[in-house]
Amino acid sequence: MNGLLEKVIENWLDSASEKTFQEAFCAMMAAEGHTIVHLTRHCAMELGKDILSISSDGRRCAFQLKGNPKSRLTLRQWRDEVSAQVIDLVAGKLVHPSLPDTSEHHRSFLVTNGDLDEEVTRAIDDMNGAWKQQGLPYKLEVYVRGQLLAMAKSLGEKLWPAELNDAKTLLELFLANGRSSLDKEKFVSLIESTLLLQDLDKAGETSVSGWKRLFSSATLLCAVATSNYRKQNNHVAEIEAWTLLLSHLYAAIDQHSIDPKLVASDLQIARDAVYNCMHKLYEELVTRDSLSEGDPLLDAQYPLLKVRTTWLVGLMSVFYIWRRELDEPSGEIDIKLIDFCRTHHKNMILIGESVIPMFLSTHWLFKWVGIEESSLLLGGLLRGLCELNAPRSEKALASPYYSSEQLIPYFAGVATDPIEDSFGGSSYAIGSVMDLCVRSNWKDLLQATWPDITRIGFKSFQYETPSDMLRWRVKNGTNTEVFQPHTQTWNSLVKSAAGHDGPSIPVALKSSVGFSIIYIMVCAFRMNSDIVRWIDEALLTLQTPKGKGSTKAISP
Amino acid sequence: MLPDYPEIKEKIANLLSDRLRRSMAEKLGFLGQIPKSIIQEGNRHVLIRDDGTTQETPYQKVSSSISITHDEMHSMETNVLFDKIDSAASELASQQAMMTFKTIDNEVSQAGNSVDANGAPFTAELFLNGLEKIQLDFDWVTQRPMLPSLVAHPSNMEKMKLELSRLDEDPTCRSRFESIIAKKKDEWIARESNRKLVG
Repeated sequence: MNGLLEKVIENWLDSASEKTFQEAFCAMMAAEGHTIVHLTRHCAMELGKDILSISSDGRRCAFQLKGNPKSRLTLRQWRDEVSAQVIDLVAGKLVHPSLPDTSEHHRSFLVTNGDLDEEVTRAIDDMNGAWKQQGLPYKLEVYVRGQLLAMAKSLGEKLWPAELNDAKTLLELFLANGRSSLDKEKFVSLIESTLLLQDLDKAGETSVSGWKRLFSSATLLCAVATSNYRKQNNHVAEIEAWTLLLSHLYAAIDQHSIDPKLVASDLQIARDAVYNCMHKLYEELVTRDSLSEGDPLLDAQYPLLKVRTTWLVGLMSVFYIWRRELDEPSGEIDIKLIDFCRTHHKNMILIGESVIPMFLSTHWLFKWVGIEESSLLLGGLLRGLCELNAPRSEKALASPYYSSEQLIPYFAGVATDPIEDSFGGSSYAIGSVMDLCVRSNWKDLLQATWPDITRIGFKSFQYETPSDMLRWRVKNGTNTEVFQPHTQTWNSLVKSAAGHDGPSIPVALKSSVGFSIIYIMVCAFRMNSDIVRWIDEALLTLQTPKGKGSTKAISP
Repeated sequence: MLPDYPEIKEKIANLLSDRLRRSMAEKLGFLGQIPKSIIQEGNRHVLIRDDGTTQETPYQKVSSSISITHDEMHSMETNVLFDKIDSAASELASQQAMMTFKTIDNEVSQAGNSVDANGAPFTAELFLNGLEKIQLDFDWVTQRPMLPSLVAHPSNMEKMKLELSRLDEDPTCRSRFESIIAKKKDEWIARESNRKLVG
């Protein structure tokens, strides 16, 4: 079993570019005790340092990654490309707010997944020797393929999937067609198994150091399992994978009472991976003439392009918001993001309740930047849900447990089996959408739609513990369906919609509003009124200058 | 291990599952037309009505077993396997129907909406007594009442149809029926007009 898995790792390492082994390398360093501080986005602003970290003995470290799959770093490559970058790596000052301020010079590493030509090894030795002779504190250290392989294997044979099912799952993901959607159920089963989320006995026996290695193992598994998606630049699939990894890491922290500081690096790696993939997606979108992908004749089949557009507009909307949350400097990127969403939002499709978070993401962007369409979007959603999900409706939107990929065949007319589930007369999203309309003070709209609203059961899932919200599926919990009182007062609705503390929301999600929005896009069945109200309020707070309040009621 | 054929077996399993589902739906009759909702996670279900009352529905298991002898395994033909599936479907449908009627019975008794004939045969008057106790909705467009479905044993079907025809043919029954429908319509209009957001 482990011989096979070692082959998978070797295979992955021998085909990875520097972009595709970055997160995995970080996971391995985290397992060695490093605190990862920064991962590069591989953008034009690259400053010769792909990764910054603090080693277990407190030393600052900088890493430059070079992809040489199944090959060697040649002398020519060293001279033409690498040596200049290495000078900056070694001699340049490390600037990052999370790095300790110390006079001791940092350690510098060149990391390659290939080997070095003898001449390169000699050149590095000579360079280091010269610096030493000059009394400079510079030294270039090197990690090559063999060491990376040993590090990956050394995470421990116990920590790799030991059960046949898990090994099979890893292989299936590793060999998946990177152009398709991520098989989220398969991916989550691998992560849940690694993090012992369903094996409480084994979890109880795991030591503190054991948890650290398990978390690094899960991070490394995510990187390996998604390598084909990364090779295909399937950014959305990667966003989903890293989002699910992060949420399950948080779930494991809560469930097993792990100190988050112990596994901070793995959380950072996953969070940065999500953000970096969003950026890469943006970079791709700005170079494209159209949003079509693959064979245009097949892509023209309804509703493929519309579903893709829905995802992209939703993601670029939240990317704008996340950038504001992180205080990224404003610039051309933000103008382009708004422009993209404004241009393409009319081509979004309400294929099922699973895409409502994408619409809400766009509504929040438009509201943030003051675009009138925000009210049309939200008002349209409420009216749409009232009509489509009325009792006995045959056009009812499928529940958010059905992803857009699952629903496409039914809209394209190529489904082979009917969905044996009924959606008319109830909705998971209507409560959230209604609350947002109430918070926007749209009394007229609510009065007009109230009779229809009372005919629809408000469905939701009540968790036994908040951290269950971070998991793909849970065994225990209550499926609830609530019918609104026939006669209701506006004040009651306002009071209910005003609540935004979100006591049922896990602290992990509350740590970032940007990530929360992405999470409910990836796991739409985890969207509920609590988290939507919390997000809405958090965005207001982010936008509002300190000490001033501002509410904007735009009538639909 | 002996030679196995998992891919073929998976296809066969899907076919048999399909047959089981269709067979069950057929045997359930109109109960099979009640909209179904798939539970994706969790272990409880709670309904909170518009009047604030709650109802928790415990999950109940329906099961049936199929046994095959070693001798049968060597000689069983497909139609025999299908018969066994249909038989299991019958049992499952029967269990599900019993559960459904038991639930309805409990709810109706709690609400005080049951009409007990005390063993007497079905009559138009009995039907009208029941109709008086239930809530009726009306079609918005045609304004016609959405009358309930009646469930009866096949042997009683003809007698019931005969009795129900009295609602139209017997002047007393017709008058009472029309009076009840008019009252129900007023109740419906009042109910619907209560669906409002005030203040």
